[in-house]
Amino acid sequence: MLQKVVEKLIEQPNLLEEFKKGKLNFGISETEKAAVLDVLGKEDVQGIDVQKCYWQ
Amino acid sequence: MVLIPKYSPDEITEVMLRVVNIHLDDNDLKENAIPFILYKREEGFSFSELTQIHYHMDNDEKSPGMLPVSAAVEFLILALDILDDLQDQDDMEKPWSKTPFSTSMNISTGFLMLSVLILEQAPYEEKLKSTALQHLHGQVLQAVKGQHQDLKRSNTIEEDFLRMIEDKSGSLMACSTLIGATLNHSTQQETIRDYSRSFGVTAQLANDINGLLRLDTKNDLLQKQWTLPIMLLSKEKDEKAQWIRDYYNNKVNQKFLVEREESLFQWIHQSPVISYVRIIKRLYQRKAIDRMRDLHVSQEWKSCMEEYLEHL
Repeated sequence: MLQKVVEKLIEQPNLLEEFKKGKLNFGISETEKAAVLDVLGKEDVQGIDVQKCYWQ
Repeated sequence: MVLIPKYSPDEITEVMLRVVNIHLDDNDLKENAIPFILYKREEGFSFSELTQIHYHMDNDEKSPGMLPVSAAVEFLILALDILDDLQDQDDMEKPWSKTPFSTSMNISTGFLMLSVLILEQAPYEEKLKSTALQHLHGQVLQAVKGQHQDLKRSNTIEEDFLRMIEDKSGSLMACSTLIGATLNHSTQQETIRDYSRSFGVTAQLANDINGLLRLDTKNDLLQKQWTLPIMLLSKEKDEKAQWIRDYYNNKVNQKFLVEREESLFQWIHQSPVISYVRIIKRLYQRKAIDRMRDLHVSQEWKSCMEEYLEHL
């Protein structure tokens, strides 16, 4: 359930603000909600320089 | 600000080396064992730090006995770290991975025994030490159970995976905290065990996220480690998830992944799975903090502990 919620919020970032304000109820616990906001609220998609990858 | 006395890593190392000199009385054995301790000292003695913090829940008077107790905890963790690395064969740079397998295993056995011996001889009441040892036995046996599940690499359900991590890693965190708390007469073992186990999961998930996202050849995916983020990635529908499944099923080799490393990495970094595992980690971290707040101790100590729990 939580994974689906996270996927939805990532796909539709515009929903995050409403979720934060409590306008969306996904049926997850308050602790789960807080954890989601802690992470998604400050996460930016970090550009990773994959050319620095050196598996060889 | 609560004052928790400092027990220097150098002093703890000194105790460990002294004990090795006395009880592992074979020059060649010592010559192999000592670098293991010194390597661990460089990595940091984080578990005994938790032991000390929990011993000092309600007193700030430095206890000489905490040095050997810290050494006991670090011997235990080092012994189990050695075995874990030998089992995983994923880090060939550690001194125990460069030493013959049998020698390292034997030294690990020695360290396990030294851990128990030092704790038995520590200058605390017999009743307290007996209880502390019960916690050691109980939590390590839970860790063994978790480790077995981890070695089977058969977990494909998230809940089972998290339960395994709680046993494998949470138990060792609980072992360290409970030993410290018990030696200072704490009666709040259940609360301490609960949040320690949650914190152990937090720490393991942080390690697993870093292991997946690292760019070098120690990357967990490249090394075919089976961690929660990798398990979840392997279940995705993307073509790259099939690459992962094929790699773990030995249908393709490491060269296959290496040739595709850029696009694979790009996909991993942008996958919702990474955010999701970060959220689970944060969830366990919040659970640990909330449960810790149930303790009947000073607010200053709780603030100190909360800062510790938040730092991951």
